[in-house]
Amino acid sequence: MDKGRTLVDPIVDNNPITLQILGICSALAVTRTLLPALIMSAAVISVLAFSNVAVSLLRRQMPHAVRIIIEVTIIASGVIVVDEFLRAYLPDVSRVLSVFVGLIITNCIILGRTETFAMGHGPWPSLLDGIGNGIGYSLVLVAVATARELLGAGTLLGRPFLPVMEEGGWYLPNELMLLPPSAFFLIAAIVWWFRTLKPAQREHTVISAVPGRFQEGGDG
Amino acid sequence: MGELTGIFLSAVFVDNLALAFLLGMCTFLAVSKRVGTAVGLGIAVVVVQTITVPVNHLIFEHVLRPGALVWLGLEDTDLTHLRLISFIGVIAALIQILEMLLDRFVPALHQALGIFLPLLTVNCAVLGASLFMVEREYGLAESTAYGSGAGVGWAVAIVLFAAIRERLHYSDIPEGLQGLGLAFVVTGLLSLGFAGLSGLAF
Amino acid sequence: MKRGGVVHTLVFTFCVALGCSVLVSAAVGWLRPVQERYASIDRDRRVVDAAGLKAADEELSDREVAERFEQLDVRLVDLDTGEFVAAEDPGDYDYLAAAESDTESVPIPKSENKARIGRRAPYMPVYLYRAEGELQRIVLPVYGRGMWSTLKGYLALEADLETVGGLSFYEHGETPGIGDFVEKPDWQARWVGKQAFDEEGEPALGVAREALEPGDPATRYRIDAMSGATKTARGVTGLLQYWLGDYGYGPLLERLREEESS
Repeated sequence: MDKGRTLVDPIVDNNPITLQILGICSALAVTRTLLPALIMSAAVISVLAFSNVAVSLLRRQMPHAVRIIIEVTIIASGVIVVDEFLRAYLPDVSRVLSVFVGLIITNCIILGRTETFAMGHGPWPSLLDGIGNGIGYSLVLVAVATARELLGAGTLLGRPFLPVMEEGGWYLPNELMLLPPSAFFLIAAIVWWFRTLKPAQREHTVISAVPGRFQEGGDG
Repeated sequence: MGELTGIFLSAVFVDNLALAFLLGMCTFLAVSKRVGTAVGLGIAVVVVQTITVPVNHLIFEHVLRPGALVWLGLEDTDLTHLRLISFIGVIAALIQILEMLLDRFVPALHQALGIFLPLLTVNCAVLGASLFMVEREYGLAESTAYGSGAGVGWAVAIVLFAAIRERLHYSDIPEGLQGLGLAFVVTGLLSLGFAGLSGLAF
Repeated sequence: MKRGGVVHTLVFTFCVALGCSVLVSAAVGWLRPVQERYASIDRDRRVVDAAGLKAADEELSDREVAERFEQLDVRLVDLDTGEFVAAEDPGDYDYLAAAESDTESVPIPKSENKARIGRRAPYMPVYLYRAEGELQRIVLPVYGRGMWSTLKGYLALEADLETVGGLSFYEHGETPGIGDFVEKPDWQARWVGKQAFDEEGEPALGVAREALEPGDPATRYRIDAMSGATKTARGVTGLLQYWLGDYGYGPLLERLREEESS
């Protein structure tokens, strides 16, 4: 596969969050403000790159029966290193991210990519795939976090951006944005937008109403 | 109200892993198209959580914590950095055993769950519960109450969600929003609903 | 050795496990000292802040933190007697670890366990700020259970050992957006000037149960209730009552008051 496409595809066409339905858990929880989302994105890209390359290098020797746990072990090691690194050099952010850095291990994207891509491709394409998926994930994360912090608190990266009413300005922060559900609505909006642009991604789940089919008191 | 019951109920309603912390979402969104499968998966999660959280607590207390290995003469050893991999190891092992047991004794359920049981190994909610248990410094009884509560909470959430999704098949929804987009909106609304419970103190 | 064979699987798994362990251990070994150094500078920074040795919006470099920290007299207190004990590095005393250890920790009777910590360390480090030989401020590490997590902070008392110089929390795991008010500077500022003890000398400091009218005598000791964050607020009151009481710093404060008056 063309190297350029390997890198770029997962950003919109095959975005891990909006199409592959992967990596959602930690994505939602760390997007209340922009800074943790940025750090989380960096962490996920690093782990994705590392594990994709490591698994790819080992793929010819990997015994089939234990491959999942081996992949998880490799991913876990990468995550532990990243976690300790964050605790050492960015302790304040590390505390905000608390359990979610550890949860990168179970981030479906990483296991998903090692299993479906790295096991079947060489180290260089695997690296690109890892980075590409990481960027796709980060894109959604950063978009959601920016909206949530800006609209929910009027700040970005902790610095005031919209003049907030409390400080004499005109903007009344939308407190819904500070709650977890807002992340869902924002991602739904992103998904809707992506699929409006790219009809190929659409699902068709609605059963079209045929006049007369559903009577009163019937199925419904 | 007993402290253990309090922890259990908080884990189910106030601290719901799926709807308040948004953990286990991948499986949540993927396995919720039919109520039947959702129920089966929910039961599996309850079993896994109720067993792994207390077991992981024991491992943390007696092997990983600083000072835990004092019985081996190693008082200063701090193995907490291994908690992630050891918790996952326990979860993976338990799920493997559960799978074998189900296959032997309740093959119908094993068949129905298919791939989703092994997928629980990487379910963020399952690992998350153990990590929260460590953070909140629960004892053994509290870990058991919390584990079962966390499992039940997640199961309740997914079954609710599946029921709603099944009904939505008969609604008029814009094409770009059908399927995943709508699933996110519904989950968001469910999450908001559960947020209303957050003021409850048990 | 067949690729799919049992031996191969075992050897491979062992090698991967070994490789990963080496990688992780190397990283941890390299990073732990950095983490500890940061932790210790961070802690000193917080104490300097709590002692009032820096202005509200001043940002101190690590070296400035160290310089100002020098002005503090760090002592280890025996909580039972309120006496200072000799110690090499009182500031480094890990009271939280001691509170968890089976051999060192001291149990707290259930009726006194207002901070819901169950056990405590036998000693606690305290920080005294003296100017011209007179005690100006004392900084007391305090901690206790909030709703979900342990709240860790510092309570500073003025020279009279009754007026609050400040209360700050640096670590907690409370609900973001609801219980995390404990780390916000404007909430922390509300404690300044409150009286820690009532006329009978009993600990009275805490968060009120409901909103207080301006003239209410309780405002001497209490700050207004927090809506929607009752358990966290109760945790704050609990830990303050505990540490100001007989099983916390009570004996120490009594002894210091006697010394001052003599």
